[in-house]
Amino acid sequence: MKQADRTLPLPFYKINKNFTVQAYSEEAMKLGKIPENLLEIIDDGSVEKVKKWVSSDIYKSVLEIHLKPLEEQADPITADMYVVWNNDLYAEVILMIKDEKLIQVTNRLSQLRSRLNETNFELLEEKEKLEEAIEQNNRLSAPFIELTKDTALVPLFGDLTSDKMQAVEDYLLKASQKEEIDQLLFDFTAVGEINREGIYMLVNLITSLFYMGIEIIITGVRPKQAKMLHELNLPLQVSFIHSLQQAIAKYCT
Amino acid sequence: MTQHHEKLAHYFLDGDEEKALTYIEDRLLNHPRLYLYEDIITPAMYYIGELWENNEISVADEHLATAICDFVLSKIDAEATYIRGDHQKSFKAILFGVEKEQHYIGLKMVADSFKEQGWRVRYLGPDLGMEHSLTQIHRYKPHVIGVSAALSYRLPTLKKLVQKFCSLEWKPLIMIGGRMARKFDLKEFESDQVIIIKDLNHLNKWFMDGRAGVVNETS
Repeated sequence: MKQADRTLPLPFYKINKNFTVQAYSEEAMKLGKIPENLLEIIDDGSVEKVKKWVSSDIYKSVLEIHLKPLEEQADPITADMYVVWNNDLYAEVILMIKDEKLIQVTNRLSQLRSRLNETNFELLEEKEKLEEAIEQNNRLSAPFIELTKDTALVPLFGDLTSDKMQAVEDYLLKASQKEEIDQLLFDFTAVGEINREGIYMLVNLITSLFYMGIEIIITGVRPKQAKMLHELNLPLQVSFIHSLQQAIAKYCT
Repeated sequence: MTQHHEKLAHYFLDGDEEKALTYIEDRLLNHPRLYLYEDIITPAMYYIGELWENNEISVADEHLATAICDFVLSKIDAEATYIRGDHQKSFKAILFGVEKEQHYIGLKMVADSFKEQGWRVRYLGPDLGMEHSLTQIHRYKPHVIGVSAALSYRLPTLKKLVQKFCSLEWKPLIMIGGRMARKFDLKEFESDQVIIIKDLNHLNKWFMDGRAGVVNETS
């Protein structure tokens, strides 16, 4: 192996069929130690490509390859490889490291991508916080208030959604079991919109309470809500009283 | 007839995000997402790698294809209806690519697969420094830490990370994935606490039968 007589301002190698380096240019030394075999400086992922395209069957070829990273770098170096066979035995190879600009654009793109990802991540964190707040809010929208020893009031707040009913179900069942509660008043006065799944969940809850031997009284139902409740065939054992005031007067004296 | 993944790969390479998206959404109508990830998108990306080996495309083309693929994945992720609210599991996973690693498409699909199973997921993206990842992990206390790497040069970093994670007091499960898990023999890493995930099917199998172990450990 010797330095080539020709002075080329580019990394240049003369190789034989087995990729053994026969000669090289001065510039080639900038790509690290001159290898015995050209494949030594090629990144593992590109070796097969080089073997396939650098062969004496192909007189001339141009291909893009990755070189192993230089000592202090972490990433493979992308380069174009120009190959010409002088005869069946020897080929001349020039390596052209890719333009800095491409690398800059690539880095810029990945910076943008990570910024997007960070924003996405912050949004996700906010969303989770919000979900927790809603959950918290849901749990608080059906407090269990004991009016007398055997009567309790559950004023429902806000829209009746299945998420909300799910959040309060366990708590209500436990609370009504713990105390010696015989009557439970569900007050609808502060209820906004009702959706089908929400009311369905409420019916389930009422049925469960009923099986626990508790009498259910619903108060403060508005006309629109009454229609929906009607469609759902509530268990017959539920009584309705026009207003909370009347119910309290009836059950708490 | 061109195969599905080749067709998709060409949409990616052409930078045609609309066709790519429509193509994928059409497939989603009657196929599970796992099939799409494992049997169409992954092979499409590998096919793009082959095209490069065959000297038919350049690295720049690959970057474009990756960006389009990323876009499409984000879009279907945003449109997916994941398990939420009370049905969501309390399991948490943190996923990221080791420092300097730029390959992340696979990881993104892994993140979606976790979400599909009702997990809470923190996908931190590729090229995450060790300090940064540890801060996040200490804050989030995940049950699973997934690290991904594609190139063999990341092996030393990966080793260091796995050692650090193994010493965390709440003993998270560590998953190693990425092309490296497919190409290299990483047996030396494996232990009670560390598993190698070869591909999404493998991950899915873990969801199906391996998860019980985690549940017992953590509940």
